[in-house]
Amino acid sequence: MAFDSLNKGVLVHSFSDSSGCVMLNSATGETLSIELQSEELQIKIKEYICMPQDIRATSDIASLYKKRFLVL
Amino acid sequence: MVSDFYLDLHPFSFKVTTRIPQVLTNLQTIYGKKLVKYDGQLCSYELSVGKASGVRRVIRPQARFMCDQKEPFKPLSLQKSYAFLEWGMNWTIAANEVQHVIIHSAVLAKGDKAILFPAPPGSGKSTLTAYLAHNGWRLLSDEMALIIPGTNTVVPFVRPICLKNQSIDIAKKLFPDGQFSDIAKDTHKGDVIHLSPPQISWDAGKENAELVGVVFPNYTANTDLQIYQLDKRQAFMQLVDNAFNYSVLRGVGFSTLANVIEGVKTFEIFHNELAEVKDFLEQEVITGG
Repeated sequence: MAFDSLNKGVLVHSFSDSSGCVMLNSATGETLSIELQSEELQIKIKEYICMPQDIRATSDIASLYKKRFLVL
Repeated sequence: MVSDFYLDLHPFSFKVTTRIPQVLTNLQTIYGKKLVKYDGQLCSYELSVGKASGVRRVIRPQARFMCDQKEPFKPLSLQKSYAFLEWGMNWTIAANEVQHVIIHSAVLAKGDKAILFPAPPGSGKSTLTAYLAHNGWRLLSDEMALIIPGTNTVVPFVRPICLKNQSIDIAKKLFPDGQFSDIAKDTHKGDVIHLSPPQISWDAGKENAELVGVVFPNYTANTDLQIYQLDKRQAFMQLVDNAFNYSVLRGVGFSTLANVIEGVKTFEIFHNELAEVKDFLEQEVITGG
């Protein structure tokens, strides 16, 4: 599960109208909104984890790592 | 002169202490029989509005607001003392309450079906609130929605409707029999007045309602009614922006607001005709059209 890479205390909700996901980092209180459904987000996270480190910054979910939603 | 009063404003109660005649007169106008002499009742919060001491008693007199012996704000001019108390009550709940998820929003209901109207100042939210409250809806709150965590249930916290600037004249024309406070002039929000909701709202002040809609209203002059359905992700983020205690409640706030958004219809509307909005709400949001 790519969501295993989410930091402890990160909550995800995927909306039923397919408009995307929202995530809360309980540790920092920050909430993010992402135009991806849960399944799409998991694929993106998997891709991000497998990327060479030097090109991770170009990923459109790089901010999840910067904002401590993801741990590697 | 009696200076200690008790206000049972479900789900909270207040001891209010004041010796300022203007505050007392306005409290009586707005809260009527709900304002009673304090006689040792248990209360959620102890509030007071008093005159500032020293030279400020005579030169440009000021009022001080206290909540449970703390003074969260700098004094304001005495002329604004009643509005100061109302804002202080709002602050008291927003700053201290963690039993509910609190959204900066009006809440009105038809029967037991409620709609949230979160909106920034200048959006015409309070004028719409006053109109609906005087036309067959009941007011649960003009300023803050109290949502029971993990549910779509809103708890009433009935208080006066706060109207500003041009809305004051509009409301006085629309509701000539309304119970209005004095005008607080030149506040940080401009001129401000408080309007007591109709009796039906006070009478149903302990009846919860279930949320069926979240509507973000915008008053726009010279426009026909425009209605946009918001997707749930956008609506969620807008609710978060309007939540007072989301950063304190964190996971509870997150899951409650996600649950709310999943269970309601979400719209943004632009309007300049209150009756059209009322028809839309009743036909499309309350009954499901």
